[in-house]
Amino acid sequence: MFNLPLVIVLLVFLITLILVMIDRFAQGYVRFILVLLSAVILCVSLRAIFLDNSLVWPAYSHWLRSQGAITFQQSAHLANRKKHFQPKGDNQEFFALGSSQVNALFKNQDKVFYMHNLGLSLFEYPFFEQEILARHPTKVLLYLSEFDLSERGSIYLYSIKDLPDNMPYLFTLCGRYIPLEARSIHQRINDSLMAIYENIVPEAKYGFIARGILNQWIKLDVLNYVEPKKLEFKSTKDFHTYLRRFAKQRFEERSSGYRQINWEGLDHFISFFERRGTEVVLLEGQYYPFVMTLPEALKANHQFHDELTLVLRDHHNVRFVSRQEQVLLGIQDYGVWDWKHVNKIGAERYNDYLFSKVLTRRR
Amino acid sequence: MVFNSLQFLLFFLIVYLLYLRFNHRWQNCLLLIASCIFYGAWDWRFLLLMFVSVTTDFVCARGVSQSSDPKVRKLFLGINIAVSLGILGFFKYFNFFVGNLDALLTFIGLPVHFTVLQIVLPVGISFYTFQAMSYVFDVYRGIITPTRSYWDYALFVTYFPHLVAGPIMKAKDLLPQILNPRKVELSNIYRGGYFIFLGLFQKMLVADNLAKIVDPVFSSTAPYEGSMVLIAVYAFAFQIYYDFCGYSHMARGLGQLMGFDIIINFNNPYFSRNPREFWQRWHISLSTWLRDYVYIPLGGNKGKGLTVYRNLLVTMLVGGIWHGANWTYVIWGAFHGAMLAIHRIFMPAGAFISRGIGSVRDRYLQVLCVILFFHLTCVGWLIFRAPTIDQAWSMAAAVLFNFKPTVMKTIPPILWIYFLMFIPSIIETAQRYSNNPEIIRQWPLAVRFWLYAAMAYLLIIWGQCGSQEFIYFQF
Repeated sequence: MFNLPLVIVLLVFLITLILVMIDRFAQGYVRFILVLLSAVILCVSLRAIFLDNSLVWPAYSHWLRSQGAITFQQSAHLANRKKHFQPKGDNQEFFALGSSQVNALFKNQDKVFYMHNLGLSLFEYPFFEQEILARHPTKVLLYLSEFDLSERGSIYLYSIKDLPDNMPYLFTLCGRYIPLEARSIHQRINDSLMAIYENIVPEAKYGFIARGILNQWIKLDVLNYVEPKKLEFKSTKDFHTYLRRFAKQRFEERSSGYRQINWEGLDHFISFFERRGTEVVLLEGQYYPFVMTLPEALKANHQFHDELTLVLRDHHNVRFVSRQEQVLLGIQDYGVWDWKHVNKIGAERYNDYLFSKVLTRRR
Repeated sequence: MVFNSLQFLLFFLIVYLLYLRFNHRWQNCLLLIASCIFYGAWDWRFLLLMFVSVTTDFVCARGVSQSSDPKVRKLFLGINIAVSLGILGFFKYFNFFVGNLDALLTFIGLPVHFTVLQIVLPVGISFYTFQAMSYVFDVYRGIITPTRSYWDYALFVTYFPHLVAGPIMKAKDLLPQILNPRKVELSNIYRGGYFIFLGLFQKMLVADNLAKIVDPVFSSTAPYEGSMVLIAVYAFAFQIYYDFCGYSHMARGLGQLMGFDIIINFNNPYFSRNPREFWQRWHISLSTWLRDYVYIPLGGNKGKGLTVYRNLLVTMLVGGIWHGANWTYVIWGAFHGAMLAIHRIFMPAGAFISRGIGSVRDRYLQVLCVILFFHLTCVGWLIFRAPTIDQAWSMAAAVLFNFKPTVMKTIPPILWIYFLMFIPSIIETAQRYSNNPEIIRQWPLAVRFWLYAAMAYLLIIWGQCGSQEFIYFQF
């Protein structure tokens, strides 16, 4: 049985013993090298204890389960890390990847193994390629629409080691993404260096866990603790007014720079699985019916179709399932005042459809 | 570019690797270029301004030294003071002066609306102006002979580790180190590394995290409860100390890596028992500057009657206004001047009491004095940090008349302050009682190892990397 406190006490005792011996017997360079070695042992041990094992991630997820202590994005990242350490032996046939919509769709079933992140953009997909490949699914499900093209995404939570064969993609992505996010040259240099630093020192990247755990205990708003707020509306009319305004913002204000790197990310992802003979099922995502009928959304959907056609033109391993071919989700299938995520009923309806009509059918 | 950013780390690594390869002459050349890049990263236009100041000081110092006629010497000194204070006055105090003159004239019934200019304050202007002025003063007094090399003098003023927030080094301390070849030994690297690490810890972990408690309270337009104000004031007392001390340690550490010995700027000031001791321990380079170039020329301790108290007050007012163009700084300076004067009045009585109560009781009394004086310092910090006098007053009133401590609101920040202050307080206490700022380096290896490991781990997890500038950059 893994006893974390005992392991730490033993480690401290062992290193202290080594240091006392060094202090007593070693001099000059030998002393320096031995101290350095002790530091390396400590770093490696701490990393193994706190980051690189299958036991801590479920614990972190459990401790940080209440909202507010960490962001939704960090919470989703924790869930992905937890899944990363789940045994890869009992392979799942289907692997789904996407935004929080994917989480809402698949969280209550066990047929599809999935990973998600809040507002996962298409250019982030390649960071999951190794993870998916390791699980040998026969089908990779992507649930995406114009909705996902308007996400900002973030590359800072990922590791370079998630892309062992794809360094050129990483350089292209950083070269294009960082300038979109950071305006000044100083900011770009700093962001790039920060990404490198957090890859070398993952403890810095996962500092949010320690901050979150402290928040969990003492709700310290100086550590970015945000009291979760739920959207509330007096009537459906109010909700629709809000959605109209929000949809305009959502679909019209994103630059072409983001769209371009998104399509490149998707292209990279599909090519990766094409080379390995894995089918990618591209399910056209749905959201609250009222929003889908708004002119901005319709326009964005047309553009989405046009651009997607160009990307899929050269790939033979993709099956695109448009909304027209799917079961259409209604108002009752979405959460209260939630225009993005399906509720339990909606998820069940969609999954029934998916397994009866899409995932059983051969191409 | 700030010391606590990865950008600076990259910059310094490049400079340092080249520095180790070059000989003395080229090292100075490299440092001057690096200093210009470092400063120009904020705004390259202010480089020109800095070089106007450098050139004026250099020419005036040469003029002072080459003439034996007292009138000519005084003329050069006067030009130097006029140009230096003119630049400083325009960039730092113009709007303050105009605004107050406007208000005064309106008050006496002569409303004249002056134009307020959109002036950007050049980073570190107060520091490099004072440093450059001290050079000409010292040449005038015959303490040093001026250097012949303009570029070496320019490096003296612009040397990047201390350019933007001090310490304000005197020419007799720094210039010989620039003019003579420097040795970089392994011991320099150890010492330098120690000071940089300590400084980063103080700045990124302690000061920047305390800022999250301080900033919302001081920047709020709505009044906070007294208990939160009090917590914010305590937090600010430690924030400003660790922010500035951290910077000074990093400057000292960077200097050490390059073979320079930059003076200690802080010496456990919160262990001070009285204002006199405080100013011997807090921002030592500024207080020494004020003593040598303001207090002593005014007459220092030698005057009769009220003259000494006047000198103290004037010196501290200069110190206050040096920090910025705001009445809060003026009042803060006056507050410290008044404390120094009062302490001077009661000093003989204090000594008499100390002698009379015996050594054990005297020790308790000393501890009491430290606690009492720390709280007086905090009163000063409340005035110093508040954006306006009105706000300082309303915050003080909240502490006195609207205290209302609530467990849910006050306990978390207090616990957080304790958490942040745990390691620094151990270090400070050890330094104070050994009277050795490097005492930690003499501790047993195992103790040091675990202390450094804990500091590094906390720094990585909780540290705010490059997110906040140093408080003293604005001065």
